[in-house]
Amino acid sequence: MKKVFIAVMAALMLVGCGSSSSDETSQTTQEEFVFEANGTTVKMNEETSSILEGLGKEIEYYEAKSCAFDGMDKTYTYAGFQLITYPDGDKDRVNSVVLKDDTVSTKEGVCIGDTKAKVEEAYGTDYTEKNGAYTYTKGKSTLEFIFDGDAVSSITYTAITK
Amino acid sequence: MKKKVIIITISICLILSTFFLLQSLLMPKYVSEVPEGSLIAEYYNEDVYDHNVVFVGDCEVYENFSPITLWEEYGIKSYIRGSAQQLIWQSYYLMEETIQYEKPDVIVFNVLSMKYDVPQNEAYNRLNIDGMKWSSSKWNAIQASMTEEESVIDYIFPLLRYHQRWSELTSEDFEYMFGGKPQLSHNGFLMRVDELGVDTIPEAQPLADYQFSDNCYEYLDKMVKLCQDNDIKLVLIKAPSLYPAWYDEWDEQMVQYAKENHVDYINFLNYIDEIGLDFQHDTYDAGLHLNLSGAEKLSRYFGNYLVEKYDIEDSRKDSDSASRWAKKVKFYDDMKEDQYRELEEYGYLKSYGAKEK
Repeated sequence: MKKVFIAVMAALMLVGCGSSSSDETSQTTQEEFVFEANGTTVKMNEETSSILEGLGKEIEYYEAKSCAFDGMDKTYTYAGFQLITYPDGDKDRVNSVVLKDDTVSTKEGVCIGDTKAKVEEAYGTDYTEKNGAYTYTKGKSTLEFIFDGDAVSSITYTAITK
Repeated sequence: MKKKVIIITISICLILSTFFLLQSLLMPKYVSEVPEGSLIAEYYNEDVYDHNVVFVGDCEVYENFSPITLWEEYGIKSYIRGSAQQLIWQSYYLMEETIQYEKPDVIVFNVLSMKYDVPQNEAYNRLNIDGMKWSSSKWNAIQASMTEEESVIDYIFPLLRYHQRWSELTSEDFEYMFGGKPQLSHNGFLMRVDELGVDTIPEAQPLADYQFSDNCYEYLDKMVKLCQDNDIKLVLIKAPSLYPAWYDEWDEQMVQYAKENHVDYINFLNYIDEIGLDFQHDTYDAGLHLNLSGAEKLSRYFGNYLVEKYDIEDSRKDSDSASRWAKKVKFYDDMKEDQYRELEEYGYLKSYGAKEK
């Protein structure tokens, strides 16, 4: 009985000594999809300070309270694309990049208006398809192409944060 | 033998007491930080459960409607069972639980959460579920809400989830260890008097699929049935928050659903001028949520609708109700005065979760 008591007490003590698993910062250890603009590489889940510095002054800025947590979800609008961030403690990290027109393209050369064939030529056929949209996954990131007929109408890079 | 039994009993009591004490200490208190986490539990502090109207939903209900204005202007007794990013199944189970306490004339559900098909985030689940008292509704809410990484045992024994808070403990964790937390909301409404007008709203991203999921429709069907079975009118709303985007394709689905199921659906985004909302002054975070001024305007507009459409009785002449609500009005007025004082003194709402500008 004494052993059982000691074991239970030890377990209780351990309960107070564990480390957090759910609050850990997102890590980008695997290869990711990356977007490039103004000579700056934008990687999903990356801390944003040097990225913002590289991209230069945004055209528009919007911040939204991250519903119940400290920090803000921020949207930076640049010529041809939007960069959206999420808070992670004192830092902001890249949540998504949305390409808005054909003045910018993905690193692999696909832009809005291109054909499905060009998307497949650049990224292959290892995508998941939902409602005609192609989603490619690499590391902790996805790259989604939405089509209007055969033409790309939207391109979005998104961080996988879970 | 007798001595052995006594030792075992004392040991068990000691273990249970230690567990209880640790859990009481380490559970987040949600007072100065993330007050949204206190909203669900505050419902149980009500003296009488006789609300005419109960709201369920996400931040678009608990930030945008003022039950005190509904009372002062129309004598409507209301409560907001809202919480951050409340998902539709959580709203349903809160609705189910609420009906165990009272039978309101009207239940109002904000439909923004139709966009979420699957459980999203453990932290938000906690804000929605931890505050619920144990019941079959809570159990079912947990089952419906858990992400793949979660375990039901962590909800039964929250200490297992919060044990790592040792390093984050503040004086509030000790102060409110055994209860006694201050009331933070006004029948579920979180007040903010500060202003941050709208300069720009990001263009909405195109979606691959605008169709709401079968899972969400199933819960909406359950809400309709629950209300029908209990002779409660269900009103679907979309609050007039400008961000995040509410797509026309989503709106059309709600209009169609309401028509087919004979429930009302009001998209307040279509009535911004009639409500009198000025998004330079009636929001505290650039269009996501209304501030006090905006919430009072919206409540006046909606209160008039509720009275005209559902003939909600004016309870201001009932002395018991008037007495209870007079205390709520005083708390509301005092907090309003205190928030304006802080705004004047510090330039931001120092004690109410705002950040220094």
